[in-house]
Amino acid sequence: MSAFALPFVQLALAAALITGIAAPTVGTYLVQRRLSLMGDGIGHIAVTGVALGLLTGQSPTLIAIVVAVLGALAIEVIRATGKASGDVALALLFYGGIAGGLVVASRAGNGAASLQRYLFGSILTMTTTDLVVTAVLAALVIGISVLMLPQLFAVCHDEEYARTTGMPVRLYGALIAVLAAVTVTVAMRTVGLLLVSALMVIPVATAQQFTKGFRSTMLTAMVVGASAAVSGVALSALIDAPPGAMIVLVCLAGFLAAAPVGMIRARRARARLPFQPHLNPLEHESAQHSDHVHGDNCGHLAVNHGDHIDYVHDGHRHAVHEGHYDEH
Amino acid sequence: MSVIELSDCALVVGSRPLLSRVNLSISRGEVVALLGDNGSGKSTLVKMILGLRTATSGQVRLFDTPLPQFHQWHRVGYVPQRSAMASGVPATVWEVVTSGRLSRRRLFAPLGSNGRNAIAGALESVDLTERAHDPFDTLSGGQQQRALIARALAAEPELFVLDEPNAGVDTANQEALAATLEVLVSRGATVLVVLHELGAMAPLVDRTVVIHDGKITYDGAPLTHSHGSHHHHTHEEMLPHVPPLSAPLDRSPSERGGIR
Repeated sequence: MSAFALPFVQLALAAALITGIAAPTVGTYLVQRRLSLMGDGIGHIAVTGVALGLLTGQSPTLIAIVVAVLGALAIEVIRATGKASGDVALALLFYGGIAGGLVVASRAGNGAASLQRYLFGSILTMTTTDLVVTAVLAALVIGISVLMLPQLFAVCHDEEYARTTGMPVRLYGALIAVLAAVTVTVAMRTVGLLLVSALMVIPVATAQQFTKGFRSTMLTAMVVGASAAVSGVALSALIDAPPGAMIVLVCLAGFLAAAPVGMIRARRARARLPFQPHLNPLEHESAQHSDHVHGDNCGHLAVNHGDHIDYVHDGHRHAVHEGHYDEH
Repeated sequence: MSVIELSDCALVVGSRPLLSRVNLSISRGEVVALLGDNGSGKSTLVKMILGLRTATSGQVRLFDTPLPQFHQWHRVGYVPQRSAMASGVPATVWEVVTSGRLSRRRLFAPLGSNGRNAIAGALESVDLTERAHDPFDTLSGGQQQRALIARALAAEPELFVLDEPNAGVDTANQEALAATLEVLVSRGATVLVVLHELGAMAPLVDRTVVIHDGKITYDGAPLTHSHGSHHHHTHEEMLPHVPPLSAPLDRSPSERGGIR
């Protein structure tokens, strides 16, 4: 296919691969902390950074990183202090960021048009330098997220407990916020500030449909994010659609395809939930139909019930008892 | 030597005292139950001992070291209330238990065989080895509580601090928990356990401390019944069965809305 021979398409595919891996690694920590929309908030704040860059003639990416990091740290401080009015404070920060950005950008020459590139992504205009910057920042994010997984997992999973292990929990919380800010600014060229959170969160939600643990969720999300980003860019080159939006649509399609698997898994897990040991019936009642022998792979669901196993079928629970089956 | 030593500790939020004039000394090997009504300050006291809340006056010492200078956190195993946890991503029992080992792990250092053995041993002692790779959320309440004990065990601590381990756990599992604690005690552990009532733990407990409205009102031999019926003791006043007015304030944000 000729489109993929073009250098700018190749650059775009490489950038998509890198951000597709990096965004869900940090996203896993954010989802774990129930801060799925933090990426979105940081993206709003970063708009002001981009606009300041456009106005002053500095690199919008560089200024955006600085502003996004400051914004992310402010969000973390608000979260950590746990004030009841915290979410209102966050709203002030988010909308102040985006409104401020739009006003500042309007002061810069053709700022409003340039801002568009950052709001919705401009992966097809990336230069080799852009790609190198993206790769270095993404490597930093992925490296820290993976190497510090035991510590950062503990901080996200149970912050209070983590403090009693003597870890610098506040510092690690701030580190996660900084990683999120860097990821947002890295991904803003790929999917745009308004869609960045999607690439951080949706692959994690998709991965969860298949996984049981934190580490496996993060690794699966990295694979899902990378495949979605690369195929999104490829699709957009084929049908001439905006790449950022296409990446997000592919992410969503992946989630919709995976969701039934998760639902079936959850239903199976519920069916296999052990029965309470003290809920044995008081009277002894043996099962009527004894022509079937229960056992491994007998076709009936085996569920733990205290010290023995019940076989579940047609609304009955049968337990082996001296050569016959009891109704449990 | 004392493992926990509180001298004249107070914790004031705003101008409201949550804890006042608390003196408590717990020696190595003691099993102490901390009893009190909802909002009496028992969870606050435990959090102050662990440095999760800072005493506004007085001094907290762990292993004869003032809290601000205390760094040997691997000697302390904290088992919080289950309700304090919330997670958006599944985590396996093994992952949760492994996070207990962090007080002995250096940054970027792999777990190592000592760590792996300690974690396997911790899972073994709470009888959850077979569930190690299942999601934590799929465990029953009692099993989750045991997993949290295993997490505390993973660091091989000398002092265990448990906050209401029986909350939301049925009687059979309460007995299983008591049996687990008995093993720890037989190995020489020092235990401070916050309880609503002694229940299945009664045979293990050497000493009970009753806290009421932020003050220690009883410290001595175990009371055979729940603290609510100790009116025959030196403290004549009946403890109220409704939480005192200070109750809504006597909670950290993470506890808000949790099981009390």
